[in-house]
Amino acid sequence: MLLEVTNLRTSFFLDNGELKAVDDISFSIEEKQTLAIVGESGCGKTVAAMSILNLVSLPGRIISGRVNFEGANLLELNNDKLCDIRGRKIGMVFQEPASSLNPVFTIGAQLRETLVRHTQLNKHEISARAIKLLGDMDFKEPENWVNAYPHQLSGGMKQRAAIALAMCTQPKLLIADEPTTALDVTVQAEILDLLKFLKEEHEMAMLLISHDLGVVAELADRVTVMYAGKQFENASLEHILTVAKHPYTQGLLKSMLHLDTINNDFLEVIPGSVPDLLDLPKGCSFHPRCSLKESICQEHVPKISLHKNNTLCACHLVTNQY
Amino acid sequence: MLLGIASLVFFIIHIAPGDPLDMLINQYQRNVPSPETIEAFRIKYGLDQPIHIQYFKWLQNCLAGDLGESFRYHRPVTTLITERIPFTIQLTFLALLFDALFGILLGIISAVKQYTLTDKIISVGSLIIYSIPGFWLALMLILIFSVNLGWLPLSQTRSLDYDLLSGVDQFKDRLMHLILPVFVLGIASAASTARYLRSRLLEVLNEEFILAARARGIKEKAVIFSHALKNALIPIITIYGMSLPFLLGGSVLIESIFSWPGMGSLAIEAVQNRDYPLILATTMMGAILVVLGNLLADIMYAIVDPRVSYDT
Ligand SMILES: Nc1ncnc2c1ncn2[C@@H]1O[C@H](COP(=O)(O)OP(=O)(O)O)[C@@H](O)[C@H]1O
Ligand code: SF4
Ligand SMILES: [Mg+2]
Repeated sequence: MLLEVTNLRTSFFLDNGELKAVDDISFSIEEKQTLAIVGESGCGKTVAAMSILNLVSLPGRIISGRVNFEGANLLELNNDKLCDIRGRKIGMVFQEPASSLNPVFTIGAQLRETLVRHTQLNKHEISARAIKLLGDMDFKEPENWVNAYPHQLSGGMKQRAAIALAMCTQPKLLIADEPTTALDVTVQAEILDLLKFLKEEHEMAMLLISHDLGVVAELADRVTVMYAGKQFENASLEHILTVAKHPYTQGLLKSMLHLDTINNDFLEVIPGSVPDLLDLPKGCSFHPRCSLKESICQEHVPKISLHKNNTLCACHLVTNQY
Repeated sequence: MLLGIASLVFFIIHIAPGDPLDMLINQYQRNVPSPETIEAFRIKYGLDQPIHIQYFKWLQNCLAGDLGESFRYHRPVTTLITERIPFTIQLTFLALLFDALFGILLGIISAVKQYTLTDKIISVGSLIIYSIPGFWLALMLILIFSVNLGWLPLSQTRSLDYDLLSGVDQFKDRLMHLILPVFVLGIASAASTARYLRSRLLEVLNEEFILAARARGIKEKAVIFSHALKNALIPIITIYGMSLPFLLGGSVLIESIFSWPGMGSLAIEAVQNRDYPLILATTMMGAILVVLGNLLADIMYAIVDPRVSYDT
């Protein structure tokens, strides 16, 4: 197993209470495999990704859990070792390409800095490598673009530059946090194709984060569904798309089918919105929006339990025979 | 615009009470000049004419590059100013340097050590220093270091026996004379630089590209000193351009406290003596320096910030 996340909990300690952004999440990724975390915005997906890299900063704190990467628990490594893994073995692409690139350095400078940090190449080789990386990301005339500043690039190009930065040292795992959400619809497909190509070309594992099951269906092998900090389901993509029983997953599926026809009106199939994480409903946190809820749902939090085919599910209605 | 400012000053000083001749007469307390001498003076400098005539004459000369002759020194004001201006530039420049060095250093330290005791000491300290009036600080420091301890000279740019000193000692002597005025002039702006840089750095450190740099394994030192600092320092340049007027304003006071022979003390003397041409010229010089400072800041900004381009 390349990455094994077990019982991860991350909270933000705010003035008005403890915000449990990630509340007991477990999943694992094999080499070359792609796992997707899906869930509406505000469900804790980004915090989960940051926790894997041990990059949560105050007022947030990782409370418990393990993040085993190639056998070592990243949450217990010292800072130097951690910095050697970040960017070298695990690359990360952020949601907003416009804000994930430093505006006052050229693309080339940022690429070279990362290459200097993680490789033994000489100056000349590093400059050449920076240009080649941009070329690999489908930049036409990459030798010109290395000298460009982020603001001179279009949204799609920025994201491709950000992917180049994450791919500097051919990481074993790429974390892509909503890599297409901030982009124009036309560019989204390009970026998805690029990610698909890179993952196959470099035999790379991927942690894809998205609120859009459509995107997930293109890339993922396995899917974890998150809602309000909790894990609702963890199953193979096939299982999720065909036989998933969890009412929230079904809602996401329906909204995926409706997404293209109704002008992007997101998740109108599931009424209401994600609850305030500081003021979660009693019982199953999804119950105010769930059409199938029963009285037990309002009283008891459903436990996540193992089902057939190595599937995890947390719902009172989904019992063992499933 | 410069002429506009000068014109305004022209009318204000003519309306304001006090007559240059009274001041002149006071100078000669022991042998009061005869009424004829006074009248001759009045005519020589055109003070007998109605104010609007004086104004247009002055304006005409001004545009021809002639700023007139000082009532008091009987020398062209341009000469006086060119004599004095290097001293002011020296003082202001060193104060800016002091500001940059200490302001930036303290700003970084308190941002990096946010919420620690060090941070609190720097923050409270800079707030106090920022609110202390410059003249009071100057007098206190003179009292402590010059009068009581005798470590530093009281005032002036050099000692009386300066000419007798060796080259190295001459340099040391000048340095000793610079310490207090530069410190007093620079410390308040250093405090505001530190405060500004701290908050700006903390803001930048929350940006996503900082997180992205950390996620690429960039070491924390490089994250702070390269990624965050460059972003945080860019607006400081504009702040510098804007702080120039305050520095110059402050130098007027500091120069007269330390008998520093710069533009500031010249301006004060000019006002005290109702030396109209000199008042006008020093005011205009001040305005020119402020405009130049802002221009310089704009140019620097365009050079260091890649997002500002010349053609937009
Ligand atoms: N720095 C922070 N301080 C306080 N709360 C935070 C912070 N970052 C995230 N959160 C909270 O954690 C929850 C999960 O956020 P996030 O992981 O960004 O959601 P997602 O990526 O699924 O949209 C949200 O309720 C958000 O308000
Ligand atoms: S536990 Fe109840 S409320 Fe929660 S998803 Fe299942 S049915 Fe709906
Ligand atoms: Mg997110």
